[in-house]
Amino acid sequence: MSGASKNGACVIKAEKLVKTYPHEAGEVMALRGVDFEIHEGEFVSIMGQSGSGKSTLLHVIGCLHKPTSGTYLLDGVDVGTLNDVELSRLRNAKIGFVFQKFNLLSHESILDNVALPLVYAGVPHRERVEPARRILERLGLGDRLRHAPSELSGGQSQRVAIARALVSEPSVILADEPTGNLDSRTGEEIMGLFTELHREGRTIVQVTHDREKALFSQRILHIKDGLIDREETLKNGREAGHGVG
Amino acid sequence: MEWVSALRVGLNGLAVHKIRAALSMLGIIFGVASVVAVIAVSEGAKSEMLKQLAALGANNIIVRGIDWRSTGAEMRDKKKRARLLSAGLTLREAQAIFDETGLFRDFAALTRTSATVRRDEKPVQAQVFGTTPDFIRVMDFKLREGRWFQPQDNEQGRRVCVVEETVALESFPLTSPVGQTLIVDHEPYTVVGVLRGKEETEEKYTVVDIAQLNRRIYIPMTAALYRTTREPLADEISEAIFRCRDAAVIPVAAALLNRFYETAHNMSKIRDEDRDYQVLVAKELLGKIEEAQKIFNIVMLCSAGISLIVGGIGIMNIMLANVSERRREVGIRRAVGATQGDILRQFLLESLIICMFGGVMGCVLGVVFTYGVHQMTGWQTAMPLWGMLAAVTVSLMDGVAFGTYPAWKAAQLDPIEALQYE
Repeated sequence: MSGASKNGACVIKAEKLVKTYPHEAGEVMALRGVDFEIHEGEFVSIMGQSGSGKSTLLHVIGCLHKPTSGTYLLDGVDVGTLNDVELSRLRNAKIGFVFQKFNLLSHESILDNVALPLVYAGVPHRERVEPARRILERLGLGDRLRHAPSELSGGQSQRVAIARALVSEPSVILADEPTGNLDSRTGEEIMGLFTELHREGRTIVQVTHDREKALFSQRILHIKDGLIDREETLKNGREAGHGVG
Repeated sequence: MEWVSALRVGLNGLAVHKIRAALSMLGIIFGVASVVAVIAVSEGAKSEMLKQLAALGANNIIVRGIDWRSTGAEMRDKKKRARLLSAGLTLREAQAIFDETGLFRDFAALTRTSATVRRDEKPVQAQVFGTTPDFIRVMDFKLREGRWFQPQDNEQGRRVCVVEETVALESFPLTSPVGQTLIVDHEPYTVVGVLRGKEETEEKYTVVDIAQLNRRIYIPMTAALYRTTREPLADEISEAIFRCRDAAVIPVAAALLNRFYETAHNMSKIRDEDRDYQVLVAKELLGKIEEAQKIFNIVMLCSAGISLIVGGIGIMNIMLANVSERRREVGIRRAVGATQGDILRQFLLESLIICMFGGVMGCVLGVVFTYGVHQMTGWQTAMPLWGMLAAVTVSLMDGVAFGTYPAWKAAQLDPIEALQYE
């Protein structure tokens, strides 16, 4: 077991996570028994080659897929036992996704995009606008509330996506190659923003294959062939982590 | 997700492909228009029917005498001799059958005269009928002013008359007709009452000519009989009207009347159309008119059904295209917490919005269509609000029936695969 930092409660606890996918020739084992913990306030990177299983791990952490076997506890909830509605509610309440391709709804305004998670949280329209606007203003997009996503630059789009991930105050922000579609300068800016959010005490998990971006985090989980190959602790953020136990 | 948000999402989704959504509405529009037209035509027919029933009396059976003497048929023809010798319908006969059976609440007799009517030397266009005091009750006619005949009027053969509203308005445009005098074949008759006019129909094919009905003048039966003949025995009437106790006994009563007249007039071996009387049941007569419209309704309902199925398939097609095009959107929504139910609802609602618009436009087209039918066939039409609501409901049901599958497909999408869709 890793001796992860104990500065906060355990947000994510994975034990012997296995995920298989049906495939033409039998099954593909994307995860082969992964164990790790992520605590509140941590900034963790998951690194690995393509096909290593890092995306699958992100999908399982993000409650988009359930593990085939093993236990995944998110804020103490055993995700494996949930049905679609419970899983969706859990995603809505606890997970904020940031995607490589931003994934904004092109026909909705920036404001509505950011407020989208609140729609599914059952927040009435009037009460959705205020928190969405506040976050956008904080991220420097207060003058673009009514704009369409197509009017924004890549960096701005990713800020909107981050705003959307923050709006419902989730337990974890899950970023999937968040700088993959950005030029290096804008990428640095976005990583700066993540660092800032981390300093505020948010829990952030990012998946990346770019070591430079991974260095912004406190801890790196290296995935190889569906297993955690090694764990690396960096002197970053508020507190240094620990090496593999 | 609350419904208001769902509705906004649905409208936004459709706004992206306005023309596509509009085209997919076409089938629904025609389907709903057909439904509206069917309802309008059958409602119109129903209201016409009610007008005619009011003029005939809903529970009435009319026995009408046919005068063959004027046709000059051969006396030698054995079969026809009976009717040529017949005295026609008589009041006594009608009274007897009424007294013998308990099926009728009351009855009235009508005798048509060929009298001409004048008012101050000016001819009045009207038909004069002798009738019995119960007539107004049997027919359920209403007085506009004055009074109806009293038994004494009949017993004493008083020269009094009751006129229909149309006659009253034409003959006495400036004064009340009550108390005024009309000359019926040189004899002065005092107007004692005015009947309220019957609602006229514009139907071309009717059982009763209500316009003719509105041009009648009634005089006491005795006055009419003594006017035509001095012999008190000759009580020939042109119509006997029996009012049944309730609608349920109408068929029995009609059969009974047929048997009675068949026997009394010695007509058992003579074909119905050659007999000297006719038994008419108001409800049956109207049923025949209904037949023509029933065929129209069936054709229209078939076309409505086909349009709605085709329209529904069109909607399913469009929605399947929408779903497949917007897979990424589904993925995004799922990622931020939409349940399968939320996605299902979103796409189903879009189908319903299409159908709703289609339904409303179909109603408009249906009204235009109905007007066309009215112009071409002369059928009366009526468009009740419930008809519109029913048509829109049908279109919404169409939306549910054909929109569920695409919406279900969208809900079943794997969030990750949906997100990876380019």
